[in-house]
Amino acid sequence: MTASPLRLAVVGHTNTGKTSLVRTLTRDIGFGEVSDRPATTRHAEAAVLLADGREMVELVDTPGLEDPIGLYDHLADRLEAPRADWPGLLREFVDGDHDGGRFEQEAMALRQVLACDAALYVIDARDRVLGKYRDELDILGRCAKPVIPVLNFVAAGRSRTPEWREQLSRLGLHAVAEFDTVVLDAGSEQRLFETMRVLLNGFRPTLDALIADRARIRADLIAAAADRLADLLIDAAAFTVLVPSGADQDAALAELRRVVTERESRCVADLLDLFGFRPDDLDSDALPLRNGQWGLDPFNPEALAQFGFKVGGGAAVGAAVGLAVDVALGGMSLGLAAALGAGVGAVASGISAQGQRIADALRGVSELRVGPESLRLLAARQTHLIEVLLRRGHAAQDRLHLPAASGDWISGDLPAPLIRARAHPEWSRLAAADPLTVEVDSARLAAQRDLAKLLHEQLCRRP
Amino acid sequence: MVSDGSEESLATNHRFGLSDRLLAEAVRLLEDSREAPLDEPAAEAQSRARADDFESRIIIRAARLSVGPSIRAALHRMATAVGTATILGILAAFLAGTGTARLMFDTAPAQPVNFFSVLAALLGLPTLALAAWLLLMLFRPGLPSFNLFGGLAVAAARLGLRGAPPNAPALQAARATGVLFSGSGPGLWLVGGISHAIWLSFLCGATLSVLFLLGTRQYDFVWETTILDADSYRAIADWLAVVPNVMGFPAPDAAQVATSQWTGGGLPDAGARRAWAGLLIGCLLIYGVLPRGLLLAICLGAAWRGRARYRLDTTRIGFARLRTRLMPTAHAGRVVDANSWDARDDTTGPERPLGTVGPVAVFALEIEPPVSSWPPPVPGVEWRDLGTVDDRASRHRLFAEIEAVPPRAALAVCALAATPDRGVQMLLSDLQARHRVPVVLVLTGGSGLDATRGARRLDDWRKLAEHAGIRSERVVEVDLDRPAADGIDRLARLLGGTA
Repeated sequence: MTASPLRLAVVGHTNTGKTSLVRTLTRDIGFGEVSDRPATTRHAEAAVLLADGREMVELVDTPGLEDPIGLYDHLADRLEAPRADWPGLLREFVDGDHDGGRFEQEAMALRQVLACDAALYVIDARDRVLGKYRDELDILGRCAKPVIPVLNFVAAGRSRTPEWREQLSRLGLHAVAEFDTVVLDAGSEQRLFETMRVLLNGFRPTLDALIADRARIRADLIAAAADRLADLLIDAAAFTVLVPSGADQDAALAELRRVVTERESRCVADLLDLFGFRPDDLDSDALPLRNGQWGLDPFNPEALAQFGFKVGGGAAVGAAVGLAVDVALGGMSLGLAAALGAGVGAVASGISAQGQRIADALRGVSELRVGPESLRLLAARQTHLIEVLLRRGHAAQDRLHLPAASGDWISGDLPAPLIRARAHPEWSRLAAADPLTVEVDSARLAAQRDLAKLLHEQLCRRP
Repeated sequence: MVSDGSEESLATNHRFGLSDRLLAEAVRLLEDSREAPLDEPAAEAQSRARADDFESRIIIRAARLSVGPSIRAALHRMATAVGTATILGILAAFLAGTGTARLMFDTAPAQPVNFFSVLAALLGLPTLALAAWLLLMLFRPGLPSFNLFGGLAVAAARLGLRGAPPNAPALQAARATGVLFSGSGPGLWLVGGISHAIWLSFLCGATLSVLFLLGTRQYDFVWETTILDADSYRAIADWLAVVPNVMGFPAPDAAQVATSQWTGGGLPDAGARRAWAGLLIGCLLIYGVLPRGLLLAICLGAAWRGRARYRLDTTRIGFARLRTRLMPTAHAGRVVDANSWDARDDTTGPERPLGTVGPVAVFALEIEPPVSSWPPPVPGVEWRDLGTVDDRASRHRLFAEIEAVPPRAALAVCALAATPDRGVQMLLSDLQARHRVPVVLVLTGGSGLDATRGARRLDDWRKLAEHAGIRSERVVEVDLDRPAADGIDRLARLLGGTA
């Protein structure tokens, strides 16, 4: 059933965030022009929302209404003429010269409303409820199309949502949607479409398909982000640098830090790409992220402190090394790997690996690995980033203030899959391992799957 | 983690086979090892044109990339290699089976054959392997169930790829095949099927060889023991014979078992020959060939079904990040109605002086009057309060009152933070032009704004005042809630109050 798309005119007083709304719904950071000045939008520009590759909803962004009272007066004069009615009057007005061009903006908006299936009337919820908005809604109502008020900027501190709801219901408009184009709440987009569904019966299948598609995409995004992060964490946890006795441990340390930091940057780039953001789009957010890079590497005690990790006293280099890396001898992991119950084949490979470890220990080779605090910091940073990406509307221009990073990673033990990973250096792609064996290693895949599931749960728990 | 596609996609995606999906996986692995996805807009455009859902677009894009054909060829070679290796394996196992059987029956002429050691040699290893496979399948499905073969396979692959550059299509093909085999789904069943086929071949070789030998020569079967006794062997023989009896194979009874014990000399009971032989064949077939054959059939069937149901897991990051390119959620930016007006200067009346006699009308325009100081605390000015104007009715009331008793000047108090719009501009210009009342604009509430926003807004208001015909001296910014002295002074001077 290929129905024609639902056409919605996005109207409202000037500077209420109509273009921002369209930009956020289309996830297109380049749509139209958004600024704080009045009368920014000057044409009627259409954008189409797709689902499953099909056109579902067409949103027509219009220039703001500025002088509804004057318009009403102008029209009211003509109403007295015999046999004049509002819809006919409006059509005449829209096709005419709009009082010598004085009401050109209003005419453009009304023309779109008359041509579309319904109108979204956008309100800046921070504004006072003024009488002139009532007059605007009055005129819009006379176009004989469903009008759906959308309260914008509801997440801002000084928004007056309850006042607005009361006033709107006095005008008989009870199906009111709330939205915030800066902070994208998971459910608000769905509730917007559901509110539309209530008033636009004929378009129910279209809106249902759109809602389902958006929910599916969001779920996929979270799963993909969790998968990517699990990959990073396993690579980092399993990464082991062997340092023969007598060799320069500092150089190996520096190399380990460099490799892990670079891998983290690639993960950040992948996550940004996944959500459709460019590297510098998040610069204004309350995240220490600049141009797609975390400023400090995950071994820096300051980086840990930034995210609320308790940094055990002293910022001396020695302490920093202690935080970042631990030196493990082969013997420690032997019991661990066996106790974690690997499968037949895995035990065989484990034994050979432990044999190598024991031989190394006897020869005086030590292993450098990423310490648990740094692993937790990697997880905490990337999780916070994913939360920001999930909630950031594409029209946001100001800093996004989110609650502090989740405490899930700040304290406590590493999750089981990561502990397993630390016992399996062959799981890490950072060690330039043979890609053939790393990817087909089912135990690694299973660990990554488990970790991804854990992360997924964490991400879904946050609002 | 194979994603369960929606019902729709399961139904409609029959146009693609396993090889197409493997190609997509190989491309994903290739892009994973590079910095970013391959940037080929032509392939993306084609995929968007030819399919509607995400998975199909991924598959079409992979096929249309410039590396597509070479990877596809490499996958084909991979499949051929796997097939060849399997066939060779089957042949080798067959020969091994016949060889083992021959070896076990290779005794000096007229010497009897130790029944249980033959059985152990022919059935022991396959049964152990079967038990291990079953355990792994039951408790850890997904683990490669053929670790011996797996190691060999990987070693062979590495050998074949020695010297290939990191981005060679053959490498990606091998990786994709590896991913297929190590995940759940058709790969797992196929791998199980291969291992069953090889063992089956071994067992068939052994059975056929045994049959041939038993048919053409005469053998006597005995059993011997050092530490066990006759009763335990009788029990073992009975237990072994349970199923073969049901299937109609002869088996030695208790007496025959007892007499078949090897005593170092003399010929055992000839009648037992056939019974033991029957038991041997029965065991081979029922405990060896039959289970393996059944499992082979099951694995092949499951692999066939899995092949049809195999779908790409679009939650893997390598695929998910293609979503913004292949499944755009919006088209944007088609201008539907172009702007054809310019900002006009409306006609404004002549410049009027502010009078000096009589009260000044004051009204709050679209703002709550400041509670603390209303009317504005300008010394020496008599106020005529016309209230709040914010809708059509109050605007008409304002005009009516002004028309009835025209004041010498009107003070419009607006919020600096509000967005000035043409409606306000028309009101002010109407007051000046039509009602011939000079207007002074006061912008209040500015102390709550930050500096940049405040400056921007002031600029907007000044422009509006200009369009409405109000001179810039008559625009005063003073927060009436916290009036600054200089603002009040300016108002006082304008309105002719004594300072």
